[in-house]
Amino acid sequence: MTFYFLSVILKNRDKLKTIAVNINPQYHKTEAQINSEQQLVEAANKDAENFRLIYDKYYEIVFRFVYQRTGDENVTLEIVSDVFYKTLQNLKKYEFRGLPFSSWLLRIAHNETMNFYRKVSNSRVVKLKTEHLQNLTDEENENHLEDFKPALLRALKDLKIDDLQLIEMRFFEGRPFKEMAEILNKKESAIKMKLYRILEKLKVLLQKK
Amino acid sequence: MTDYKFDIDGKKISSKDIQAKKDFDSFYKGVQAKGKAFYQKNWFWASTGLSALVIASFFLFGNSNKKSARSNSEINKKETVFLEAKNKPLINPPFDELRVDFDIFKVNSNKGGVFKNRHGSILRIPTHAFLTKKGKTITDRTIDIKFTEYKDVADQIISGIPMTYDSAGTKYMFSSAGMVEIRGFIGDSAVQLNPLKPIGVEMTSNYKSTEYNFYCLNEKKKRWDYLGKDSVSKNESYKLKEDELAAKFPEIRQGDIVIPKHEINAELQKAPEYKSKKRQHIQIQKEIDDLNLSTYTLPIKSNPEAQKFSLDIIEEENPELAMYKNVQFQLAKGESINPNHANQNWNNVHLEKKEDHSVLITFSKTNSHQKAQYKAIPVLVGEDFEKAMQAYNEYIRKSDYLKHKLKDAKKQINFFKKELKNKAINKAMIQAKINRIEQIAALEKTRYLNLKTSNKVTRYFEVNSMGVFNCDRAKKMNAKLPMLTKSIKFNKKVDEVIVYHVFNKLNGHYQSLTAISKPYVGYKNSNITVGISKNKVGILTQSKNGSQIFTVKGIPKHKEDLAKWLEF
Repeated sequence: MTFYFLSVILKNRDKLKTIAVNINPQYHKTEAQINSEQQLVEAANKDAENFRLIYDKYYEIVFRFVYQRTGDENVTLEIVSDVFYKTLQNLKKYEFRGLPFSSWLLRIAHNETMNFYRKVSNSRVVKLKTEHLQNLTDEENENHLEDFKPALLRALKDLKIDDLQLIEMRFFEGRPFKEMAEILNKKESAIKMKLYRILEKLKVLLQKK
Repeated sequence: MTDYKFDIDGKKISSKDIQAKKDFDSFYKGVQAKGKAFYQKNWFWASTGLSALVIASFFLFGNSNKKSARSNSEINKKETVFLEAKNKPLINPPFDELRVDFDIFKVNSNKGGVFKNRHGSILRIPTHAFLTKKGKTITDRTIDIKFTEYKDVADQIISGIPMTYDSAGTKYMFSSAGMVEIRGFIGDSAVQLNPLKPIGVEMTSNYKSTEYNFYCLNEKKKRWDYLGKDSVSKNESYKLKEDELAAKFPEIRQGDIVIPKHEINAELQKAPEYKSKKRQHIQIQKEIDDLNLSTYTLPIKSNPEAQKFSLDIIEEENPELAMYKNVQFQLAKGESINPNHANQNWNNVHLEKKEDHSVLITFSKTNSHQKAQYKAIPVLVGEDFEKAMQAYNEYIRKSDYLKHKLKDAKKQINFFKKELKNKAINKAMIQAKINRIEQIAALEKTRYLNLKTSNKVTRYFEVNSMGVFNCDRAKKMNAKLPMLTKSIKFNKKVDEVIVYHVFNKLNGHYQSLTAISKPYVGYKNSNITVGISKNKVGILTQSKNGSQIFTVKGIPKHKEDLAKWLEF
């Protein structure tokens, strides 16, 4: 079997972008919503008790982000707790740049999760649904997914962690490039270029499998 | 490099569950108590280390846990299975004359090869794979490989291969996704398989589940040895292969397209350009025809030395001779005019053109048979010749021009016709190609839908010894209350009968013995229970108050007989 789907990905990146945006509406907020987030931050800075509002509002987003990367509820609880602790500690350093607060929060979550894997476990969990793998394919090849799923997973395993997490964010979590850039603290164009190269690399790996 | 664990379609966690874990007060108390980050504290490392262990154990044992949770009636028997075969052969076919059909492959011991049996299953035999009983590699010999495949319950029963067992007093049966028996012989002597040269088996199966285990029948120790798992893949693709495509839907070539002439003509008639060209062609042809009516021939100048005569023609009386009015008739070389003829009045003159442009002129009289005949060439003299030559040249020029014009018109018509035909062919070809693609797509769609609903798969495994290999899973049966057997009727009263409880859906059976004064156990989920006694098959039609009645069907001559009685 040829891995035609990757060339389709490369050609139709815009199409995939649409898919990704549609499945992750959380990132897209109105100006009013972003401003209200800013007010929450200011309130928490005045009185740490007000941090409850941020904790309540973003707990699930952070939990899901970490759980996606650990697959274990206990580990996730610990890391999430740590994320909010770090958030509280650094809240005064937060600069409002017109972006959703969640992005900044998820950057901390990302760093904490990476710390966990660096220090505690070498076995990185990647949770995904079969339909996510379908995001990596074109419609025609959806029917073959069962056939090339093992090869695809083997190829994904050969990727470096930094590369795999871009695939994870984009295709498994459906995050927009802008949000990915914010979480990873990189430029959006760099993320796009990097993802493009990873897909090409994946294509080569798949052809070897 | 980081080791990744892909958790596909794993446990979902609901918003409700996450909300339940949220505890700001505890968190805030912790924050107040903290002087440093969690991960900088020893207890964090202890807990995360423990969590890592949890993750690892999840991946190591999660699979088996899932299975055990899946069904209480199913055990995931990943260990050796001991069989009940104390004082009888392990493989004990119940019929003396009936065996499952098998294939014999002639295998070159040096080369091995790939062999396909009647069911489409494949053996991949490596080179130098066979050993003598003493363990020496067999070379330069032809090995008979006997390959038997047991696809269904009828095959299983006929084979006599034990498919039931007892584990700590609990009875189990094997639900089989397929079983094969591979034996090798040179003549009557069995050969061994080199364990380092395993045979690859691609077994067709109607059972696609990956929950089956892979066992080998250990005939010495009378047990099934667990070997692991086979791998499963769909053995067909809905996509047509190249040879299938070529056979069913050959590529459309231009030569295959035939457009009937009448269709082309009908199209031509609709084209105004064609009609105009055609009219032009007819007109030119008419002009050429008209031109031919006037008989222009190359004028010949008179020879002053040759004898000549002329005809005194009255145009009103002889208009057909008008063209010869100024013409002189020059006698052929050697001929001369008879002076007698010159002095006579001739009533009639007949001119006959010859092929060499000469004219045979015959003079005659009305009241006499007298005749005078001369062969002469029509020639012109002086100015008449110049005029005739001019007229002739003009004729030639016009004729050439019209012929050229006609040729052009004809060329244009042919070109137009060809263009139209090509267009029609191209159109038809595109349509034919579209039809072909649609037909292929329709067929592939049907195949895809069939495939999607089909359970047909190929199960892959390797065997490193001769013997019986089974892809199966152990199933616990749903037993009814035992009942003491008081009487058994199998045509006549008998003391005991071997019974087979058949589970069609599970593709398996459970074998037991019913005997007088012994408890008999029936099973709720079995489709049918058959008894076999002295080669005869009987269906258990009544089992009540310890009395069992078998309706005897007879001795099966073919597998199909048994399959029919088992109500497949």
